[in-house]
Parts: sequence; C-alpha cells; structure tokens
Amino acid sequence: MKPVYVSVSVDVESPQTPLLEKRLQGDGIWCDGNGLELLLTILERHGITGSMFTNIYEAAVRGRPEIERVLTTIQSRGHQAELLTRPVWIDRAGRKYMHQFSLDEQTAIISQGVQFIARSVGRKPAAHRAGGHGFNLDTLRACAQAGLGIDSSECPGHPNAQAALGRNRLTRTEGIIEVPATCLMRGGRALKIDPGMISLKDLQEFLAFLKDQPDHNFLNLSMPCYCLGVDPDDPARLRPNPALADRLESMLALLVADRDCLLTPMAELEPAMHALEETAAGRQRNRPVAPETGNNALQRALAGRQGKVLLVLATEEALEPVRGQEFGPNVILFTPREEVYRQALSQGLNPASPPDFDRLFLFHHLPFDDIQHLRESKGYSPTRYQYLFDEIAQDAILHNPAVRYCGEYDLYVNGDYNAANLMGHIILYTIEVLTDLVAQLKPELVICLDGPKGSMEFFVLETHLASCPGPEFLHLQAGRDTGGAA
Amino acid sequence: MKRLLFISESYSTGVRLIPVYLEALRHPDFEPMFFTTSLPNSELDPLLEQHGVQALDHKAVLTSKEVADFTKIRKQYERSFRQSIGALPNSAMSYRGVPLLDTFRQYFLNWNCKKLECMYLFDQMARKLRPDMVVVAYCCGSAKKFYVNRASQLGITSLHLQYAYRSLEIPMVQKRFNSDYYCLWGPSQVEPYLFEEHHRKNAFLTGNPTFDLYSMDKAEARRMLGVPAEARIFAIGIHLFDVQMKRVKEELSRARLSGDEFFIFKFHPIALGRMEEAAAMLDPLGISYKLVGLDHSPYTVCRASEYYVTYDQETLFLESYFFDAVNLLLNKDDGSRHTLLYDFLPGTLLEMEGLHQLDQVPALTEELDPDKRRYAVEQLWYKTDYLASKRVLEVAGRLLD
Repeated sequence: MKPVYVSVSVDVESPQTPLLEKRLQGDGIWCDGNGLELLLTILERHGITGSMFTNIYEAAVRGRPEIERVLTTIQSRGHQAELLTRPVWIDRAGRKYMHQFSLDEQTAIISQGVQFIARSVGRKPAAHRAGGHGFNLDTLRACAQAGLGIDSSECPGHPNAQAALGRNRLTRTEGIIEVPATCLMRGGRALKIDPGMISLKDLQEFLAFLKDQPDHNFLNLSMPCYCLGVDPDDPARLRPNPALADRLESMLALLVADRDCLLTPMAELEPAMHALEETAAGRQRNRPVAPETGNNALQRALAGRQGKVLLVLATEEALEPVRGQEFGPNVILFTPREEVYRQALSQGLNPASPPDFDRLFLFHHLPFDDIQHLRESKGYSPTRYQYLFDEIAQDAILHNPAVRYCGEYDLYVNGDYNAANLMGHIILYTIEVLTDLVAQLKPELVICLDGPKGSMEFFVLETHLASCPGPEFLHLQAGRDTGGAA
Repeated sequence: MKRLLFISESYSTGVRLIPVYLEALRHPDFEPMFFTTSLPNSELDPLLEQHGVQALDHKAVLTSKEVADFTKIRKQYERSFRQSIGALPNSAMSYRGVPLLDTFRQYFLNWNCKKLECMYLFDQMARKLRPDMVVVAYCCGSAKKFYVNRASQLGITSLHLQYAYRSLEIPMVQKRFNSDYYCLWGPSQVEPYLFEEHHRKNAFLTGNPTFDLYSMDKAEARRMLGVPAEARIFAIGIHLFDVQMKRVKEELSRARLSGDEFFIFKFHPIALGRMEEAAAMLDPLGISYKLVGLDHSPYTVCRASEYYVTYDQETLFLESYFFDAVNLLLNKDDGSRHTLLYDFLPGTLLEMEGLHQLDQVPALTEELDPDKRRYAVEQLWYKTDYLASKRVLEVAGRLLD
C-alpha cells in the first residue's frame, strides 16, 4: 500500500474577526491555557511535530515581545514555526488578502515575516500560508523570491482563493510545492479536514478513499490554535472545549496507528512530492501493451512465465481461445460475469469468480430492473456511492460553477443520489471488484481477454493499471488475435 | 387559509399524500393543491381517479411563453456546460485511476437540464400558486428533490411524509433527505429513518396516513375483493416473480391443506406483466385463489386476510401489522431464517420454512403473544385510529402559525 503523508498544521493567531472588531474577550492565542499550549501538549502526546503557521503581524496589536514568546514556545517544544500572512495588520488601506497586493508587495510582506521568525528562533520558516486562503499565483512567486520552498494556502473551492492548483493533491508550481488544505465533500459542501468540522468517522472514510486514489498521497489535518479554547458559536468568547479535544485525540491516535500514514511536518514534504512525480513518470513507462494481433498470442504471452498471471475472461468470446488449453498453476482464470462463468463451467473450466472473493458477479451490462435483488449485499447498494460521488466529482462538477450553477439555481445541493446510483451500477462497483482483485492477488501480469468489441472490464483494468506502478497488462481480443489450442 | 402544495410522482408517493390531501380539502384552514410530476402514469392515474383528485402537471402550470423562456435558459446552460466540461480531461473525474468523465458527461448534462426544468417549474408554481408549504413523500432524489431544494431557497417550508421503513438491524447507507420537517410512522422509525440528527429534531409522530382510507371491516373488504366471506384467507405478496412463484408452486404442491384455505396473490407493479404465467403455475395445484394487481389496494387485501405471507420483510409485511393480519415470514431461499427488522417483533409473527408447513399455522397462531403484538403495532404505526392525516395537518398548521 502506498504511504499517505500526513501533516498536522495549526494557524497560530487570535480569532481574526473579533480581534479586528476589538471584541475579543481574552487572549485568543493562549486562551487561559486551553489554546496553543494545550494543542502542543496533545500533539506531543502522540509524538507529532506540528507545522505552526504563525501570524507574526499580530505584533501590531500584541507587541513584538509577545509574538516572540509564541515563537520561542513553539520552537522550544520541538515544533516548526512557519509563516502565516495576515497583511491587514500592517496595511494602511486595510487590505485583508495577499492577492490584493502586487508581486513586489507580497514579496516584501513575506520577507518581513521570514526575517521576524528567523530573528526570533534562529530558523527560517520553510512554508508560507496566506491567511483566509486569499492567495494567487503571485503569492507563490513571492515565496520563491523570499526563499521559501513550500506554500500551503490553497483550500479547494474557497471563495477567497484566486488560484486553483491541486485540489487535495500536492503540486509543484513556480518551483514551489503547494500543500493544500485537505477537504472532503459532504452534501455538496467542502469541509476541511479539521476536527472542528468533521467527525472521526468522516476522517476514517476519507482516509480509506485517499489510499485508493493513485494521484493522492497527502492529508493535511489543520486547525486554528484557539479551537480548543473558544466558544465555537462565538469565537470572541473563551470557553474550554473538552469534547473537541477528545475528538482531536482520537483523530491523532487513528493517524498514528495507521501503518500507511507517515506523520511528516510540512517542511519535510519533498519526498511526498517526489513520490507523486515518480508515479506520473511510471505511468509513462507502464503503458498497456496494444492489443495483440496474430495467432496464439495468448500462448506467447504465457510461455515461460513463472510468476503469477491473472487471466480475466471478460466476455463469452473469451472462452473460445482457452477451450481445451492447459494452464500452469501460476495462471489464475477469472470470470467476472455470471453467464461467462456458467459457460466456462460447462466447458470444463473451473475459473475463479467474484463470489470467491465475497463479491457479486458484475452487473454493469444488466438492465437496472434486473439488479434490484442485489441490493445491500456484498458491498453493493444504490445508496453506497453518494459520498464517493461527492469526492470524485469535486473538480469536474462540485467546484465547477459552469456545471454546478445556472443563474441562481444550484443543481447539486446535498450531492446527487441519482448520479451516484447510476455510476455505481455502470462502473464504480466494477472498478472496486477488479482493482481489489488485483490488489489482493498481486499478479505479475494481468491479461484481459474479451471480444472484438472490447469490454468494460478491459477499460477498467487498462486505465487503473496505467495509473499506478504494478503488474504488466496485456489486452487480447478473441476473434482478432488469439487462435486456438496449442 | 394556508396553501399546501402536494407534490407526487408515483404510486408509492401518491398513496401517502392523497389521504392528507383529501383531509385538507375538508379542513377550513387549508387550501390544498395536488401536483404530479408525471402524467400520464399508469400506476398513479387509477389512484387519482379512484379518489377524485384533480392533479396539476407541468402543462397546467407553464404558459407557452414560459416554456420558451425555459428553453433559452436551458440552451444557455448547455452551452456553458459543454464549454466547461469540454475543456476538462477525462481524468478530471476518476476513481482508482479509472477516468469517468467521458462516460458520463452526456448523462450529467441531460440530468442537470432535468433538474433545471424542475426548479424553473417550481418557481412558476410558487409565483402562481403561492404555496405556504410543500408536502412530499420522497425528497432524496429524482424530480422531487429539486422541487424541495428550490422551495427551501425560496423560503417555503417543506414537510416530508415517511414513504418506506428503515431498521437499525439491517445496516445500510441511507439516502440523504432534503426536507425541513418529517412526519413519521411510529417511534421505531425515528432513529433509523432520520440518520442525521438535525432532521430528528424536526420529526413528528403521526402514523401512516395511507391507512386512513382503509377503515372498512373484514367482511366489507372481502365483498370488495369478491372472495369468500368464511374462508381462511392467506395473502401472499409477489414482487420477485421467478424466485417467489417457483417456491410457491413447489411448496404448495407439498402442503397438507384442509380445504378451507383461500389464497390472494398481490402482485407488485414490477411483476404485473406475469399474472397469466402465475395462473398457469397455480391452476394445476387445485387451490382456491385470486390474483390481484392494481385493481385493488394491498391494504384492502390485508384487511380481508387472516394471514399475510411473505418471503421477505418488505413494507407490506410491516403494514399488515396495522390490519391485524398475522404475519407468516418464510425462510430465505437458502433455508436460513431472517434477521428480524426490529427487536420487538419476536413473538408477534410466525416464522416457517415454507408454505408446505401451512398445516401448522393454527397451532402456531395460538402461541402468539397479543401484548407483544399490540406493542409492535404501537412502535410501528403509533396509533391505529385512522386519524394520521388529521395529525399531519395539525403539524402543518402548527408549523405555519
């Protein structure tokens, strides 16, 4: 299983709106012991180094020594002080977001922050975050000019953002690694992976989803430093929040216990970025072989093979080339469709099939009415794909105004059950059955044998295996390629 | 006067809404209107006709100018959709590396245009009919979700009448609801039906208004069905024709019948087209039977019967508790027993291997616990007083005050 790099990032600042409006009823960073210090203690209890994005510009109201004390506390307890820019505190015009400033201005703002932190703790920050996610591409250029290698401003779909880069994926733009806030979709809304916004169950489900996606290898658990010490309904008021502290503890325990999760401070995410770039390069190397032509292609493919081979007999045409053939013990025959399985049995073959792996025979080719009796069994349900739809539809639909909206009409309030149901029937269940099979069997070679018209099974296997390093893949089409018995 | 707009789509929703609509017609505080998303509808039309409901549809609401205006809106949306989606790679929507966008982009466009149509139509209805409340019996998807969503955007309250049971014993991912308030069948439904807590806070127990129209006694129900007044009647629900009729034939051929049995086979709409085939299977058995399709309500059938027989715990299985039919739950196809849907059901029904054991029914019926049965009915249906529609209107009135 591929590793998932996990960073815990904290915005170290007071609740900004109450502070700006001068109605904050206490210290919004320390929160009478329930703010920054409590958070650091919890992180340390789980052995986690936090990436602490500090708003040094609050020095304008709190005083420089106070912010230095915040930074030295972070550093002395083994966490990493990074830079959070809130230019409103130093701009006479009161501009709030970085994208409202020119490239030169942004460079100056970031450089000022970098120097402040370096002088306070003797270490330059490695990462920058634009407060309120109000960044644009100039922000990344400014980071590069200020000597920073990482920016963590992106939040998918956020209205303040003036750039959209990776949407939950690490990307490299203008030479800077962009580390977005990780968001999951619930009912059409993007929720940050923040203990104040999601439940432990949400985190578990999302982590499982993330592990399946070849282009995603990173999760950002983020929160403000005051989350455990202010009233969630009125952040101007200090109030301990033990329930949220418990939830945070549970989430951190989950992440630490998961062997696939690598808890990594943001400053050290270069290997994660490199791994993604390698995967993309691997896709180029692992292109599926074009359909074989000529006789006896199947025999040629299997000749001399010692390693495990998964031979998927996708359609009825696929049974002709294998009729009468003998296969070595390293070859696993698999028939995903029930009618093909039954015909294979009548031919004396004894293939494996989805029920052997506690799954249903594939039904993507069957009419909707014919699959009613399959509900709520072996991982299939028409309702099951609602949340998955929310996740996979983010880029193309849910964060795409031209698709999601028509004037004042929002076409995706609370997701889309009907689309999710249809997609589950047509392809999503098929993807799960076939990809889980490959993951479980770990063959060296996967051969998909079907007819001249191809098959859904071929499409799924070809594209899935092309997206991630793994077995070789060969597509054979009976009637074009394969010839008879050896 | 409070204006209630009932929105129905199919038989399943119509049968829940019509009783409340009829009650509202008689109520001095309400002015009800009934809209259906799909006329003609071969299942819903007979129901509307039976109860004299004058339903509106889109043709009654939209003028030709409004249709033309909508066409412009739709075409503009289609253009911007195609432009935007066309610029995206196939992999912009993918799962486990499998790109999906090309396969579904046309579906998304068609379905989104349908959603637009619903929301636009609702805007015109809201403007012309000025409803104070929208009453639905399904809001998770299809057209009704978009009427409810649009109602919510326009500040019109939505009230949802429960349409199917849920059980915590059979864990499943729930469909998401979209309405503001919910009227539920009974206490056993609150937690399973409304899995999101904010919906539970807006739930009311009313019972099932569907039954309000079936207060006839057993004798009258039998007269309506044309079945013997004195026979022991077994109602059998058929929806998975191949599996269930095969078992019926095989098991009844082995059963030791006493001769006073009469079987009513009630066919789900899915199986309606095969009633002749069913007759051909049953005739050689020499049993007395009647096949019922859409000509009679399943509740008339339950009212007429001593026993309701089922191979599965479907909705009619639970509904028969309201009508005092003793439930016979037959084992699954693999011979195993069912996990009962609710922890209050044991002792209130007969569980048997199959119809071949019908001779054991009288003795087993003696062993049923009437107190447990009464409790089960309360948990499922709240009250059996045929006043659920009135209670729904009380809720509507309170919410609109």
